[in-house]
Amino acid sequence: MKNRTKAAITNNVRRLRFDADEMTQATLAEKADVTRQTIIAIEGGKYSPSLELAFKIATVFDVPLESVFQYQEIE
Amino acid sequence: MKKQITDWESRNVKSTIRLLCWTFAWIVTMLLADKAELYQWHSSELISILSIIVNTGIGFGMIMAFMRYLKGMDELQRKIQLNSLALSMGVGFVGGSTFSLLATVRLITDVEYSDVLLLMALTYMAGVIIGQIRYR
Repeated sequence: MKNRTKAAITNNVRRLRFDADEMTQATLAEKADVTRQTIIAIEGGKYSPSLELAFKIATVFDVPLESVFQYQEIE
Repeated sequence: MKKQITDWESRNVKSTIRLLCWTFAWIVTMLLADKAELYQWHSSELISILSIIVNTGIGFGMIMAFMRYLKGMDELQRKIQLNSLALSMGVGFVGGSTFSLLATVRLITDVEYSDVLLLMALTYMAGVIIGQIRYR
């Protein structure tokens, strides 16, 4: 029988913001060149960003991509 | 030196105002062309053709303004727009053919092209509102 897996992308954006001198969502949005709404949606797990935006966010925090976003498969 | 606009809000406001102006001009020229014919404000065929050409030209301007409006958005906003436009187009196709079938079986007397346009516009607006709430 086929195993059905569900993919999920989780992130540490909120924690990384906190570690980065409590950077505001607005500041991160400005640095990543997106709206604050997009940052809110990403943090809330409602929206998975494009690869380009994911790299931009990782660059803002100066960490590797995997430290910001994680890909998980849930059975 | 020209100041670079980095603020999303002001960028969106500018492109929204530009799009609204084009849309308003398109609606006004369409109404003028239509009502002039309906109430016989003139009897010149040349004026009728010119008014249609002007309306179509402004229509293309409106399309270009909408494309600029989309380009000025970030990826989440574009996703919301894409979902809304897809929903609107689908409802337009299905709603249009349903209206047509209803007219064929004589359950409604007349199918107005503007009814389908209105349905599509309302669906698009509902889609944008739902998208904004969903990704809040």
